[in-house]
Amino acid sequence: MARTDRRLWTMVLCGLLLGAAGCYDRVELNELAIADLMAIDRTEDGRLKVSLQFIIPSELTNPGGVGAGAGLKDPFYIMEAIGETLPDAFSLLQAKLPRRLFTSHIRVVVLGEDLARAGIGPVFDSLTRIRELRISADVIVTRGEASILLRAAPRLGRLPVSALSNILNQQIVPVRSIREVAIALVSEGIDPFVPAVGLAQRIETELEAGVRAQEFELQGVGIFRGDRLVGFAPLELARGLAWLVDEAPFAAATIPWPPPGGLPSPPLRPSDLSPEEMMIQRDAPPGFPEGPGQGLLAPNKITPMVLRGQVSFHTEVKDGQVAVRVHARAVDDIVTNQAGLDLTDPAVIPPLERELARSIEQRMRAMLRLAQEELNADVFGFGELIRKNHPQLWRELRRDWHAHFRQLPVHISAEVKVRRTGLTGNPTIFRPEQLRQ
Amino acid sequence: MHPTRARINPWQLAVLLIPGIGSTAVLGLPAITAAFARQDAWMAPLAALPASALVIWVCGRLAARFPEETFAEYAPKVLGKLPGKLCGLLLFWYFFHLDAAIAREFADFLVATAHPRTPAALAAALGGLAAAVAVRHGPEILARLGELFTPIAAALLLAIVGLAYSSMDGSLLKPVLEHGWRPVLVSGFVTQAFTGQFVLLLVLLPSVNGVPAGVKASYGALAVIAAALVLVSVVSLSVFGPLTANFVWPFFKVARVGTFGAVLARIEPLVIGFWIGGTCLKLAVHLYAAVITFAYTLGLRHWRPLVFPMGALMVAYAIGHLNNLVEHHRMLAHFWPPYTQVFQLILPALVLLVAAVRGMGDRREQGPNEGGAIQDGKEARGHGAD
Repeated sequence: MARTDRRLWTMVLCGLLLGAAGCYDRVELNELAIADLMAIDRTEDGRLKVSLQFIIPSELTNPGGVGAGAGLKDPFYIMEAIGETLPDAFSLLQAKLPRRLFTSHIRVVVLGEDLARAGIGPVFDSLTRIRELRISADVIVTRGEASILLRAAPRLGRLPVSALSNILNQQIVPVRSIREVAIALVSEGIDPFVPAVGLAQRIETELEAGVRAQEFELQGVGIFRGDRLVGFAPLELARGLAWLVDEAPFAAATIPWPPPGGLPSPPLRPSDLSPEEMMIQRDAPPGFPEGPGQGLLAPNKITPMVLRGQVSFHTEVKDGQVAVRVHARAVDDIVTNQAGLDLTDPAVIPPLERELARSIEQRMRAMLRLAQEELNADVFGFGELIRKNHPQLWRELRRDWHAHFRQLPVHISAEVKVRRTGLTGNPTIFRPEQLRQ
Repeated sequence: MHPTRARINPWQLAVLLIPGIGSTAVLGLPAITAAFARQDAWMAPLAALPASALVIWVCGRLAARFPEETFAEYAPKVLGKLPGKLCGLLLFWYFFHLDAAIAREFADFLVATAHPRTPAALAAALGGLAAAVAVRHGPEILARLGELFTPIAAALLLAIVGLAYSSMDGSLLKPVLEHGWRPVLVSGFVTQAFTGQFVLLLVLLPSVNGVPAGVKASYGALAVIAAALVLVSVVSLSVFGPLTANFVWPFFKVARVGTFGAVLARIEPLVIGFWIGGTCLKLAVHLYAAVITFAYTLGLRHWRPLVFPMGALMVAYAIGHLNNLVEHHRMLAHFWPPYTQVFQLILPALVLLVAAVRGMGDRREQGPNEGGAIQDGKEARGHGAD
């Protein structure tokens, strides 16, 4: 009795093991239509047009580059459907797909301008609720129609989505995932923003004629108030935004030297060339006697590279009036000194640091002005900052926060340390007597 | 065989209790507490600590007074036959109902995250079957399973936290105590419905080698569970901030954001794995408690034949008693906390109070009663062993 019992049990348990593999609920890889990039647009009648870019795995194995153009096909294709909601559009898409729609590998979600201006809240419910979608996917916005962006075919890399997410990951502007946008949407005192990406202008060369190529281009950030897009900040201002949300950009920020209204430049020697000589030398770099490179639009420039940036935020309350203090600290290397500053002289470093700091401040102020005065959108989360530091005060401000935000005094300061001067001390293109102090 | 013949050591008790209580709370609790206390939800497990420790203390005192007996056996002696049996049935109902809730959570999670087209009934039934097979082998096997499983689960939990580190933003925990202590205490009360499940000790302590050591191990298990819940809450809140309350299983979502560079990402199958293991163990422990309590309340000689029918009933109840996930979570957040207090704290405390007033049972430090108590123990053992 006991023995049969045990045998029976062993068989039952072994049978159950088969079920543990989950094969009854399986979907094989070659039964999936794997989407990697999604664009959501609003149609004119207010429905959602969802465009998905699908990977064609067999084309991926084609060696890129070798015999390009001849018989090499794009490893992706695009399908669209219009529905009332996101899953609605998915199911309509499914009706056109010979394989099961698989959305888990969507890495970037592109929002069209129309949809963004109409409000992204409803779409974000689907984006966080659907089981298959990953909320770590990045969100971007584009001017005009989002599905146009899916036509890009970057030359580097076989998959557009890889190129796109690599561009985003360079952290030129702060990147936002579905999760982070959803947090901003649900939080008090913070408005969302997402990077704005468009298609780059095409450069036609003879070699490339006939090759399908279209690059992405990071164009700045889209600024939202609540869940509605209210404007775009260009790339220069987007870098100011990066500072203001403490995600310092790995970007150059060129300053003029000598600073306007600052240090006096050394007197230029008058030209001793005769008019005839000047006519002869018209094609040579003009202004040779003053220094090299004077033919550029603004030759006297110094460009630093931000190595590390850190921003601290403080709030202070005086007579019931709250103010925000933003202090940025950066460590820079100098990567270009075409202004001919004598970088072997330790005494020039402090004024240079002050000037670099001022340029960071200016970037931040410009972004702040755009957000406060033009768009009235608190993308920096200053409201949230006040809520965290002064919960009592926040209860009065929260009701009409955007009006308060417009008036909010924000004191911006920056501090820059120059640590290295690149691989050269003195500029290689200047003779000693041409150097500025 | 009476379960007190089985012997588990205090360490095994602790590693059995940790998944036996903590496994369901780890995934879902932060969402429920965050609905009340928002960014302060991580304090909820701490707020629940005193009451949970009280549950352990009460169970420990009862076990010291009535060594080698389970609640269902000494309750009639203390309260009189009929009220005592009634209390036994009430405790049985609690274990049964809780077990059904666990099975339901198990099935819902598995279907919602991994197997959308599997019937929930099948998921619950498989979990129930695995639990029942384990229970039939008695508490020692359960304890062994605990030893096997708990270290792995702890490592997985820490791995998920480590991978989510880059997505964490500590400032989302501020402002601290934005709405005062009240929401924290309310969410602590909700947490108590989970950590108060230490009432399991009424059934488990008699099987442990040395009651005082067992109680000590239980306090240790409580500390570990509370620490794990605080950790999970802090991580969920600092990754999702105000979104935490909107998710059904925030910690599962945390595992989905976690990455280690480009090398390691999307590790949620690990979460599903440790959830299945831990929840099956929790199902088994509570099924065991329900069966033992039921058998000894009715004075049955053997409890093993009850395991499969009870498991089947439990699964049926799990699937039938709620229509959907929404009801389940509303129940956990609003009905469950006051309801469970009746069984977790009031019932054992009542029995302990009456026993103390009537001077029943043995307390080791009281010399004169010692002989009688051992007699009681022997009697109980003989009664069950036939």
